[in-house]
Amino acid sequence: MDYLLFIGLLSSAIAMRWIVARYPYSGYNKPPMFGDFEAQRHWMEVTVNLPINEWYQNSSSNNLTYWGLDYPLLTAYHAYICGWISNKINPTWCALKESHGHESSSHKLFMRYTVFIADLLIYYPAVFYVYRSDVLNKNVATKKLTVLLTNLFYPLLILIDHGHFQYNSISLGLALIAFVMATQSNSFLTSAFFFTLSLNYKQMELYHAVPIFVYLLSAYCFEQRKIKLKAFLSLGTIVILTFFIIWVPVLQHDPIAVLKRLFPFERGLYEDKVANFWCTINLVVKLRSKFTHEALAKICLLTTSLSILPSCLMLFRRPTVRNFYISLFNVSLCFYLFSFQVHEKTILLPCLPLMLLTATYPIECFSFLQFSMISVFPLMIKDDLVLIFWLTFIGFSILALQRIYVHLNQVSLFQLFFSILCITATLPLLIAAIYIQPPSRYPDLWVVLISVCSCIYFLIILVQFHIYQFKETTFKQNPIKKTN
Amino acid sequence: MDIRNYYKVIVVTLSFTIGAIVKLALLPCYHSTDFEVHRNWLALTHSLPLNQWYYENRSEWTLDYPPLFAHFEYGLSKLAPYFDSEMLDINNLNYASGKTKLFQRLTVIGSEIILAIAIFSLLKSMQIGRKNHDIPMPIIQLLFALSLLNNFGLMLVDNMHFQYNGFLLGILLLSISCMYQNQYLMSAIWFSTLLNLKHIFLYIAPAYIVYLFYAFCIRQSSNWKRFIVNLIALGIATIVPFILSFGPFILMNQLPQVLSRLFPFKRGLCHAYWAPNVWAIYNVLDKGLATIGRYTRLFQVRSTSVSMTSGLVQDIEHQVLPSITPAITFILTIVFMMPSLIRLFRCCSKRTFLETIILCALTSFLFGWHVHEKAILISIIPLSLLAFDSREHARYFLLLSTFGGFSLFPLIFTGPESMVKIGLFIGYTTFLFYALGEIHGDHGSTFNLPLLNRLETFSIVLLIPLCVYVECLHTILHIDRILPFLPLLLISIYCSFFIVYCWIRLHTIEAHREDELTAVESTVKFSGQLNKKEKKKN
Repeated sequence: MDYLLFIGLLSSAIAMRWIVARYPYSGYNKPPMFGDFEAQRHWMEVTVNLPINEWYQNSSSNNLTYWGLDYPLLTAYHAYICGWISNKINPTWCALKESHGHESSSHKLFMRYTVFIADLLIYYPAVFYVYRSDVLNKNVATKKLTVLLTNLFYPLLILIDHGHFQYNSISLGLALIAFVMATQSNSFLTSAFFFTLSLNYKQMELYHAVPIFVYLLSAYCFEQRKIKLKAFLSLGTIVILTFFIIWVPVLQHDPIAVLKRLFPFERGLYEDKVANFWCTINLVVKLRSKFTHEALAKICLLTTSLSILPSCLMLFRRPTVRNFYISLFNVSLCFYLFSFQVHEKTILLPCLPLMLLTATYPIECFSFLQFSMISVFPLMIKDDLVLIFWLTFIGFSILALQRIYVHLNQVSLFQLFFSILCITATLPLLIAAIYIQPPSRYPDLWVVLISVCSCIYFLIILVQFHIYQFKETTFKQNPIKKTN
Repeated sequence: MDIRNYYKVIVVTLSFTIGAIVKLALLPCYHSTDFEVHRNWLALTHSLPLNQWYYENRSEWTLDYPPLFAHFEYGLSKLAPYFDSEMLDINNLNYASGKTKLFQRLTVIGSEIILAIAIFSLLKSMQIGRKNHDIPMPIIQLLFALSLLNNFGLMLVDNMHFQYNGFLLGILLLSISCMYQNQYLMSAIWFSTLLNLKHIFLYIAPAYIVYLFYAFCIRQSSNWKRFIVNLIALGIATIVPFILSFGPFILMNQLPQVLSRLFPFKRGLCHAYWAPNVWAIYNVLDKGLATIGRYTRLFQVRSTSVSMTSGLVQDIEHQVLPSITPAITFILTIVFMMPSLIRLFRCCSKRTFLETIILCALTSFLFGWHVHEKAILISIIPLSLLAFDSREHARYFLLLSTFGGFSLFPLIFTGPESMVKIGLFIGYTTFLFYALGEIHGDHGSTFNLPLLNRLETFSIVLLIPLCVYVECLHTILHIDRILPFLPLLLISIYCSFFIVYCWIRLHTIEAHREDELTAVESTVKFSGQLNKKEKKKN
């Protein structure tokens, strides 16, 4: 494709991110706890000033209740590098203990630059690698363009990374590279390497770990019901080696403390209102009062394992590329709906493989992506990002409609009408959430309604994609027929 | 409605929506003192009676636009109380609450509806894209509307820096569109309204005078009586907006005061930031010669008390070359406008008229007194009307748009907005290159951008290191402590070379006698006697 178009799209994506960066971040002007922005600044402070064995430990200089580190080691290393640079520019930004709640426009600019550089170094290369090497849409230029446009301009990732403030693009970018590399036989080991890196950046990538493990096993380690020992062993070695290299500094001291921070089971079934199955059920059956904490954890474990089983079995039965991507989506959505301690932002994880499938199932993907934005709306209200949310939502809808028009021969009009109906039915809730005061008996009325609607839609899409995966698994190989 | 008109409405609405989304997103961005200027004018027109508008000077930002614009601000101030009535207090200097910013930004975006209407009218009258056989006409029309409604220069100046150029250029385009439909009087009315909104458009008045006189008065008239009637009609059409706007002030004997506010000549040859015109080159030459003169004592160097690179608005005295006065700039502008006006006179067609507008605007930009760099927009926007149909115009449009857009960079210098402006600039410019390249069938090659030759491509690529230097190296290497004006100087000089180059080359495009593109009939020739004789011969 034209290099001019590349440069144009990339710089428009950059411009969009920097326009969003102009808006407030989470926890702006909200002492004493502030928000995710303060959390990231605090991690830079902790990693730069304290030795590595104290990063995950509760101590007088590191109070874990004030935004203690709860992501794996790569996040800590990244925070260390950023903190080191920030110390060189202005030591007051990360001074131990004195910089708690530090807010200034130059510091905000510095932090926005760190996200931008992370994007530049990891996410954009990942997106362009996907464009060049994706096997699913090989040789069809319009489909590759659709996937590229979705990857560059999907608003939720931009709003959360450059607005609310997180570093999702690093783990998601690494995961994207891993997914596409896994589909190519000469790079499946590198794929495992990248996925391990991604997993060590955010432990939520475990949502994707099961399908990619099943796929790598089934596609490369099994041949006519016999295990290819060499492939299996080399896969295992790479994963264990990468884990070892990353965890080496902590292994000498106390790895269990790190694990306890990463998987906090004390916290409870869910925090805020999430578009989760349990949140929705909670309307009718008050779960937290009926079951004990451990019982709830066990129920979640059981339901999640049961729900991901069909998809994983289908993937194992027939490891094609499309099956792999659909399975990634199904499993991560199951995890999102049925798992323990889910945050709203984790909807990004099911959205990631869906971005790769945009050209194959345009309407389902675009409408799911829009619904994921709707489900995060309460968070946008808290962060004061409502205006930019609406603008990016409408802009992305225009882009989606244009791409659907390009792929018009693949879509079913019924699906189109159904999706538009669902979205337009939910939009009044978003407007009401800002302008209409809820009755005092139900102070969270609008938030709960939005979550419930999103959850119902997610369940419908989950069933639909399980059907698609079933079709893909049982699809009879016809050598003459070309698939779309 | 005709199906083709239906398409045009969709095209314009879609482009306007996309433009509005981006411009609304720019709401919290940095705005310059021009924001306070317009807030002050809202307050002043709302609170004070008419006879004090041009005498009010509590704020340093006095009213220096013609009266029609003041009335426009008055109309806006009627809507202001719905947002924040505190902005209408004159003593509330530098008041910029969230609601005020929202209101002001919304007025800019809202007033661009005139630009959208003008584009719709142009699509009908100029039939853009009809000649192209490879790409369907609606697509070309969509690209044209997108390029105007999302123009980087307009976005930077109107929606970030804060001005109302989109609205004014919309009226100019309406006037041009009327001219293309041979509605001469309507066009004259729109143009004088425009003059009464912002007198900077006096720059292009010569083109209008020559074309209206020749095409309307002379060519449309078959005898002397008709000629006089047409001339009087033209005169009335032109004078009426002036009477409506200046009339009350003439009656109150305030005309000298108003004119002194409109034409402040004490401001100096160049603005605080030098516009990329001939005088920037002249200044650098003078400084260079002065430095050489001081070291080698080859020629006399006058001493001056003021430094022209201080970045302040003041009178400039040159050290080696002769100092420039407003009269000299005026004479030079008129002299250099002559070639284009003569060209218009000799080949009086609609396309030549449009080209003359562009050339007059560019000439005044290059040779005028106290030119703002934002004035380059007056040349770029009309040129885009021709770029989508004519390959040669597309080439100079691309060059002018790139260098003009780049020369606007110093207007926005705050940290968070720097990356926004660079991202928007590169995105918009590559979109233009790609779109125009596809339309004219030239996809470029490894060393050539579409439609440009190697030297021009190389000069655009050189913008990248210049940008890197200006935006970060200058401050990182601490050169800003020794030579703080250096980046502005470099941008001015570099862009001015290429703007002069475009200006010269635009003169050389062959003028068309007939407009093959327009669907309306050609005009009647003057001297009906000659026509009758020709008919008898045939």
